[in-house]
Amino acid sequence: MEEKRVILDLNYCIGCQSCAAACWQGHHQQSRLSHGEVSGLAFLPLNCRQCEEPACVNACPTDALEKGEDGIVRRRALLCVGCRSCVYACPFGVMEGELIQHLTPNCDLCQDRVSRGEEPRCVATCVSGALRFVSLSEVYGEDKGDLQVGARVISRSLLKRS
Amino acid sequence: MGEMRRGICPFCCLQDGLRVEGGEFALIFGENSLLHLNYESGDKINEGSLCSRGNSVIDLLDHPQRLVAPLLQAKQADWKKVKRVIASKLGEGTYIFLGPNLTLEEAWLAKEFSRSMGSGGVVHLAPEDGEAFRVLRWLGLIGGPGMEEVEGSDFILLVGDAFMEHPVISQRVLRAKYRERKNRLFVLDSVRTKPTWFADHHLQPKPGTEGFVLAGLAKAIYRSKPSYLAPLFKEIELEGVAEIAGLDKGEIEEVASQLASARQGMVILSNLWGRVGPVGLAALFGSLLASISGGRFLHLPVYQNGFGTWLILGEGPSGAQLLDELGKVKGLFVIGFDLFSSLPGGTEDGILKKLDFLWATAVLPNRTTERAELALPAASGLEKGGNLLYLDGALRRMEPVLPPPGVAKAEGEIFQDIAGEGKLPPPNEDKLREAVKGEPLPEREIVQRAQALWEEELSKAPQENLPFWLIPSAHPAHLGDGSITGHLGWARKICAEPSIELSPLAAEKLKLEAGAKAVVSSPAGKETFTVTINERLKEDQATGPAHFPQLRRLFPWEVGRTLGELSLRPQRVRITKAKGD
Repeated sequence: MEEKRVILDLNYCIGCQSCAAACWQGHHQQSRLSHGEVSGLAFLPLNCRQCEEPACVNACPTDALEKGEDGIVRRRALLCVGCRSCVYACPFGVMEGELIQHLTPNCDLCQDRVSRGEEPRCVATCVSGALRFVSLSEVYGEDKGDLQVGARVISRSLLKRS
Repeated sequence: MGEMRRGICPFCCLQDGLRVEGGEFALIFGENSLLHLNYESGDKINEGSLCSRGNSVIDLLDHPQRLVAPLLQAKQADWKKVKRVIASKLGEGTYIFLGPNLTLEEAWLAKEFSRSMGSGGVVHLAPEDGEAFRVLRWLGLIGGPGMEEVEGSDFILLVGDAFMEHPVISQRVLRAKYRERKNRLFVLDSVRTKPTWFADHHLQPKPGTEGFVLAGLAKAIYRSKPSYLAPLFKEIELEGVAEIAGLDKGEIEEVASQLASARQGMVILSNLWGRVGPVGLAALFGSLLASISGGRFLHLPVYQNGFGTWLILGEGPSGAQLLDELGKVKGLFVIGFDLFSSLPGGTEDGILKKLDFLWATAVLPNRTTERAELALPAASGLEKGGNLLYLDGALRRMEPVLPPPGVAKAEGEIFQDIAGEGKLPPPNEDKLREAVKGEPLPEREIVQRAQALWEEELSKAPQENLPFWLIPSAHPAHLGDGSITGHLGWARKICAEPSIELSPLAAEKLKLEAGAKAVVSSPAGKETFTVTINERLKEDQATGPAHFPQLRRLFPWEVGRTLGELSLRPQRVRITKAKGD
């Protein structure tokens, strides 16, 4: 199966945090999706980018985090000691330091849902259609407008908003 | 995989479809079943999406604070005893007060129950929407456009902050805007909000004057048709409207002409706690504006079935009028909402003093059940079946996902049980359809009433000149008065305490930083809030989520003369630094 990522279309995000609420509800009240404010105007979700060479994995002292063959960074709950090394290492600041029991939050793109053919919770619940779950070829292929992959804004054209 | 059941989100008028599923290891729904929420991507209204409060709805099903047994003077009682108490006291001078989250059947049964028990009557209180319901009933506008029509529009005028009050509507609105380059989204709101970021133009009038601006827009494009409206528009002067709203006359004319030239224009009105000013005026001129320009008008009430419940009761006195004449009321039976969190102006003690008794049904404990002699456990929106009135005027059938916990019952069932077996047969769908059907009033009467409303609002005395406007705002994690969502985890996490937003300049002048405590005082009261900074606000604007009774208490109690409903609008307030902060 082709690798997929969550992308954000800036033209549609209204900053309502439905995605964060769905993530929190679906992961035993742990936020795995942070938000960032832009100039007091926009409030945008910062999804994990599932980096090609994830700094969080390298920083983990107990090898609790690993990147699977499907490109998804997963955390093994029994090995995580909640030291937050991954949180500090993340260059995009998308991991939050809130511990539930001893676990640091880590987005695995809702593998419980994806394995059943469903979209991650943040995408399924998105009220404005701003978050989409698309294949890597679509992300890095032709110009699809203003996309944000995880925390990085891919801006090939000016924002359409006036 | 466990079992899956379809439900309807009880947390706003959009009635979004959702799914509740049993846990992976659960064979059936039941006490040991782990339930989780899933998204109903096939639903024609929301296509699976749910706002943050919709995502919390599952918390209601097994909430540890649920009322699961009747409480008589705070002690657990059985239904038999409850029935005896109710039957012995319900009679003349006692009134049934209906909340907005009931099914059409339940509203119908409430009327029949009142008749069979000989109570004084049934009333309905919808602080945010009551005025709009009355006006739409005059005009016979029971059904508005559906979601497909919103998406098909080429010009949308958003009045108020629909994106935060009803986030799921944003998908349709933004799709309409981006479908073709020439499509336009205009916003009419006194505050720069999230929708204004997407807007092609933001009409920013003085707080609470949105209804006047809509009248001005309608006047600007009214020529001679329909002719029966000529006497009304003769009274409206564009210059006067521009002055009231603090806008340029040319700006109003330009926006009106763009709406008039749209192929399919749409005016969408949403209002929380008087945010857009007198909502009756906004609904009247919003709908007339849409009709004159050949477009459609969509009113988004706060609650799931508020309009349906109101229509079943008919055009009787409002709950606000009843509370105004409390001298003749002996007792209140409050059904399915928190009366005391819903009211302005610290009216709670005054009401309690005049009552012999107060009973309430509720899903979760609230300020009303805490003060009630009798608190009855009710079913949540996912635990009962029945019909709802949808925005397009059609009936929508809702099936229960689960039975209610303990001995809790749906309100309709409570009425039937107390009245006695077989005495209150539920209505069939034809009867309900007939009851919510709307015929407009004769044209002459519409104009007379509209003129009276216009004159009343024009004559309202300007408020005391305090330095700030307090403009209620919506928070997507909360619903209405917050009495239910305030118990739910996500809302408690991100919007737990009442806050007031100030512009950076105002905060600097008041020497207040984010997180500091500020005292906000209005002629109606004084409350303390935590300060947050909002760069989008003007210097004299302050906003705060309307889901907290602390904010609601700063608004005065006022019942409109023409509409007889609670009349709310942004308030002038004074803000000072709290002592010791």
